[in-house]
Amino acid sequence: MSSLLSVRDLTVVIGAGRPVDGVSFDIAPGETFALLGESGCGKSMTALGLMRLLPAAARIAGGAVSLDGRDLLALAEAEMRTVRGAGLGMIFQEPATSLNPVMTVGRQIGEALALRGGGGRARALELLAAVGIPDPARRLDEYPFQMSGGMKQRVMIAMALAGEPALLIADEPTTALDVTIQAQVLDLLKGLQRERGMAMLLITHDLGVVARMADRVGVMYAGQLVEVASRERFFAAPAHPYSRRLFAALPDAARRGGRLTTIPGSVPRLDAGFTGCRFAERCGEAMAVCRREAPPWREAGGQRMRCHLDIGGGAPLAPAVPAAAPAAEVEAAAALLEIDDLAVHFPIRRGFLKRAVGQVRAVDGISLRLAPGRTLALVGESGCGKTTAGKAILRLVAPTGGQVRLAGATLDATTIAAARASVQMVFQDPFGSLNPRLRIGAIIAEGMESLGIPGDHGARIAELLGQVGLAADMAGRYPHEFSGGQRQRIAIARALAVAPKLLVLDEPTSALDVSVQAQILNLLADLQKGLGLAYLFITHNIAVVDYLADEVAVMYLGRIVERGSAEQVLRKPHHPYTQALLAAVPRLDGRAGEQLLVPGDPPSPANPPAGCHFHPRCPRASETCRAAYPQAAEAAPGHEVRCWHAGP
Amino acid sequence: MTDMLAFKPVLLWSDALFFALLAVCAGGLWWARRQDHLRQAWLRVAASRSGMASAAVLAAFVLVALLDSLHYRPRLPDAKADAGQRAAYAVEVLSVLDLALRPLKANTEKTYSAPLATHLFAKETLEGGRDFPRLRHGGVHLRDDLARHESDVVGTALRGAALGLAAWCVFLLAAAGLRRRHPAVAWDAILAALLGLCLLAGPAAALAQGYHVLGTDKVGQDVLYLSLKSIRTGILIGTLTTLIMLPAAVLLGILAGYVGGWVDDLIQYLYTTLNSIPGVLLIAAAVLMMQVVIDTHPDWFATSAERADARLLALCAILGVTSWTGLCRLLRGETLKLREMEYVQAAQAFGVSRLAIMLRHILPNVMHIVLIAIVMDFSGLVLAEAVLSYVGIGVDPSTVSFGTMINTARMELAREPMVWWSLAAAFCFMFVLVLAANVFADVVRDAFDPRGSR
Amino acid sequence: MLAYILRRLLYAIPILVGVNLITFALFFVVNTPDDMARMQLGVKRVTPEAIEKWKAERGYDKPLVWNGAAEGLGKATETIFFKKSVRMFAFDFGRADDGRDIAREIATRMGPSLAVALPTFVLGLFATVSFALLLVYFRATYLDFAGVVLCVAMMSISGLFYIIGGQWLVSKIWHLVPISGYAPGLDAAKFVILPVIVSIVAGIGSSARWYRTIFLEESGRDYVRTARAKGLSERAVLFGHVLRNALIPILTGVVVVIPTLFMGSLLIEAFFGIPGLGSYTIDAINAQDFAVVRAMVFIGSCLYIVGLLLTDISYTWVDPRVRLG
Repeated sequence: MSSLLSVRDLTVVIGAGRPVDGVSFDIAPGETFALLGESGCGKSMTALGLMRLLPAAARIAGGAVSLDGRDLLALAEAEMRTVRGAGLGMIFQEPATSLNPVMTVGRQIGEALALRGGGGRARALELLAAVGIPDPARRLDEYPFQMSGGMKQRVMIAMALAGEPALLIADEPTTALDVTIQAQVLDLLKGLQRERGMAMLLITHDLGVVARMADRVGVMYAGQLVEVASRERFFAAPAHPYSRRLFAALPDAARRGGRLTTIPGSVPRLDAGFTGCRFAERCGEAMAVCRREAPPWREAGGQRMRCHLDIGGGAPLAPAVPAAAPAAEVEAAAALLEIDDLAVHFPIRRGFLKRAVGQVRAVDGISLRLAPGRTLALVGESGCGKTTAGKAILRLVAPTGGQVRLAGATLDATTIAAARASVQMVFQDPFGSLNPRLRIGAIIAEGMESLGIPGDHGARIAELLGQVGLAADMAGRYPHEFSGGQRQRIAIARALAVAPKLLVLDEPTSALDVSVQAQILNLLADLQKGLGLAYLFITHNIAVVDYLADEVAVMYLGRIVERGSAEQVLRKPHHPYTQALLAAVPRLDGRAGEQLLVPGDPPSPANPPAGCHFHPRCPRASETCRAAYPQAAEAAPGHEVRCWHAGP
Repeated sequence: MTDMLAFKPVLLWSDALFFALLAVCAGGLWWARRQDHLRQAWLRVAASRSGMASAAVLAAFVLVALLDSLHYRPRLPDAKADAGQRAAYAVEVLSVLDLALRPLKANTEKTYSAPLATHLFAKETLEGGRDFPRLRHGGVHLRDDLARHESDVVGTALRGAALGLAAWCVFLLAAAGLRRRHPAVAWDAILAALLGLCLLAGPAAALAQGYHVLGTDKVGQDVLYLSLKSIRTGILIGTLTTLIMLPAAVLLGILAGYVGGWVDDLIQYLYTTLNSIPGVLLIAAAVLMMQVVIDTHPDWFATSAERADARLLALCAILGVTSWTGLCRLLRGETLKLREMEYVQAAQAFGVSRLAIMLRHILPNVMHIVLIAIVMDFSGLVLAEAVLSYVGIGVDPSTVSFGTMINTARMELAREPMVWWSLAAAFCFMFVLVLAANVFADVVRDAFDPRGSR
Repeated sequence: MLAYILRRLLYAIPILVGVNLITFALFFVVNTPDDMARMQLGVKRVTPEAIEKWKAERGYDKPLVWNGAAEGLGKATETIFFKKSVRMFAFDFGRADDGRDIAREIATRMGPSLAVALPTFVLGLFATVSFALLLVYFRATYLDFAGVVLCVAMMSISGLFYIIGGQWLVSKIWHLVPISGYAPGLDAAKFVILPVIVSIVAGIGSSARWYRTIFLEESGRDYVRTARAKGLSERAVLFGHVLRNALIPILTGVVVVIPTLFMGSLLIEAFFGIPGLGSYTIDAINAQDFAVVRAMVFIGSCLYIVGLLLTDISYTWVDPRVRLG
């Protein structure tokens, strides 16, 4: 196999740390090689190192990179520039910030074209059309801020294609995108690659994306590659203990009710001097030799891993305990949380006197029921209003309509104060949700003090820390000493401090790595069992929903389009949006045959389409859909769908 | 009976505020030691060579200002010692610095003389025709042996340097001891800065015994003495102004950002209005008016020092009123951002009161901006004082400051040959002070700004 | 856009009223006209007649805000507040102590002020931005380091030093241009050149360092990395991408001063004998001519508000995301 790109022992240093430490791999022409790893493992640094676009603090300390036989690390900067774009194209994770905000899309593509002898507007138009942007002639003269995230990523791809690169480096190309848009972009990349015979280095943390796209996979951990294998081989039998735990940590329906396998601890700091295996501290199979000697590469059947174990040698991981049949009779209990027609509208002010000329209908009349001790997942893509809905329940955002009742008592501006001990919230960002200037103890005590909860707060803090799996003496430390997962535990302890009956969990795991996510999900399950908590779980992650939700409500543009039990909604979805959402989730078996792709982007909640909000993107749309919003209809007992053409 | 002290301590308002400020700083540092993030940030400052070198220089300046802020009125020597008679004290208010520099203060010449000179700068008609007359104090010890002048100067300077070096060795020993306890601090930078200071101060002190090291000004005052006296004025204006405006800026900035609504509108209106008046004009108008108040109420002040002090404080207040808007706007913007932070929302979910949120969650998280603003503003204010005093809307003409020094000296540039030493001394002292402040401010900003502006 | 400008202009009214009230309070409430008269005429041995005469000459002999003795509307208009403060809205500033019409004086003095301030602004901006770009182009090299050190040193030097030093060096030692003075028309050039250079040099340290920070911040952004990944040269990245985006924060500080250029610079004009508004103001301050100071405060505020408006409008030119409305 002649390789297009060959990387040998690439090493990048930042100060005392080595974010990339002796990475070697090859990519053949037309092949897709995926670098898989959690945050901070050095995969993006590897990509930037190849492009020689490392941040100022970092430098390449050793190794060799050759593209088509040219040694890239030996090139002068001016020569390297001719390689960027033409030899190596690159697209980045954040389409929102990766395009120049004050330059038209056409000019930004034109710049790349001009470097290769032009082609001008006509060629730019071709490129935009090729990446599937509708009405490209108009879009060419628009600025990035006038486009949706998905479209910006398409523009990025068009720009990378302008140089007709032999290898495209895609650094988390869909991480910032919603799942339906991710499906579109992945499809596009795959198609373009096939057409052009382009090789691709795909950098991702998402096993599903790897399964969908890659020919070969390299798993990175703490700056090193630990396993390289073909996709088939990797997904059939991951070899490295780390890889195997990554799979085991993934939540899905099969593990419902059971515990997820977790990887204890977190990724080590890179400036720690390593002797032995870098994963040894977190590895259940570590032997004495693992801590002493760096593991050698082992190879079997085209699969290579860096481990003291033999390939296929590790102990089998405990299979997830299948769920005990969920107690359906819980349904009979009186609802803890009842939401009727909750609405949050933000006025849009314009004009001479700043009059409200319209409204952003962030939440537009949603109704939900949640029984004590149960989990209701509120699912939707970004901007659908799910977070606003969660905050409106606690009146962190003032609702403009509807009713929220907690254990039968209506929550409004006056009664909320008394109810704050009953309903609490856990936020998405573990770094933004803890005041960096307060000690952990003070953070956890805040609620108890504010609500005047009697008792020995010190003892209670110690108890809470124990409950969330932290040591009691951590109360004296500051947040910056903790990892993301630990911070999320602290945030949970803070919410639990006032002994609530209902927790609103706003994407509590979406900022965390898979292995840490599993720890938090296990913790939440334990707490629910032990304390009888009810969860309103707000998320966009279908796999997590599938793992833990009892009931599911799917939100689109401020309204709930389908709700029912998890079984009903996830297995027998009736709304075309739900169906599309489920189909768009990349699956580990890499099956993509019967993809149901939703075209286009979600419209703005300031200006929702007439009739059914989903009709512009819906394959079943008819005249009726354009005319009126559908009423809720029961597909089955407890399974409500708002669609004119509902059906499996 | 009444006290028979040899002096009567005088606490001017500016002294009190300056001491209070130093106390606050000391208390703040002590408090910061126990706050993890603050200690980390200060340790970064302490580890920075340029930061510590500039801090050492600043400390020297602050020491001079401190000595110059311990005021007293000496007892008049001719006061009757009769029992029952109240001791009479001089109207003139002196400071400990004046006491230490008594020869410099007392040994005035008739008019200009160049640095280290033995003769006046201008010819006068003497008995033997027109010539440069000898100075009354500068180089008197040489008597008529003027040939020794140069060698005497060099010799004295060398002796002074040796003395300075000896003093530095004391620092060296002290630093060696401290280094073991605090190895992270950039001691070598501190020592280097101190070495420079010692090597300058030593010869200057030695030479000042017999000469006017930096010459004398129009009325024959020692320029070195004036320069040292100017330091207090500069430092007071640089610090007290910020101190005065700080409460308003912090309170209003956070209120506007967190409470929003009409409070925000009102505060924004307030600072836009103040901002819209050209700064110098507002200062000029206010200073003019304040001058009228002071002049029409001579009975308010017991001594001229008190009057000058009142004017100094009023200038600080006026500069404060015109300069709080920038910090206020900065804090408002930052508060708007912090208000959306999830930890603030978490506190809201617990029903924590607005006041408590502002105190617990907003204020500690904007303090680094406040601190950066304080150190950044300092140098600008020192420079502004010179300009304002020069224009005639600064400190009282009787207060020694860089601005008044430059103001009295500027016309002499036109003389042939030029009288340059007054200006040069004022500019050099000011330059070193402001440069040290600027460098220190940079280091503090880098250490405290989480974004890391470099 | 038009609606926006209109709204901003309406918003300017309360601000100007506020400015007016502040100046009124400063000039007439903190001290009574009697105090000022006593002050002007010498504190000691002033006869009441002299004070009355002084007040009458300047129109300060009326009540402050309410004239009970006057008829009808006169109760409000025959007051110091109306005559001295409200009339300013009509740009009627009255007369200076030397009897000249302030508005006329301002009109004739704007020219010389602009002749110095405008070249200072344009050339200074150009020099500063170029210098900052140079430093950023050579970032993380010794040249950059030396440049930053130079900037810090330059901003630590008093502006007075630049003026005095410049005058001494250029005019007295080199005898290149006159030390001070002014002539109308093209002859102005030789008088203007030194003050312009001095002001630019005095300001370049702090602004260049600030711009450098902005440029560096901007060149660390994701889209700059994208531009580099396309294979663009460093120069194309700097000029094509970084400069344009960095203009946005720079504009805030720059555009707002454009209207106030009319006011000239107090120090520079005083030192170089430029008969502009700056030296007019200084003279007024030194002569304690309150009418002139009041007028300049009002005009300064008006120009500042225009500057704010221009800033907002200029955003729409450089930043397509900004739409006024």
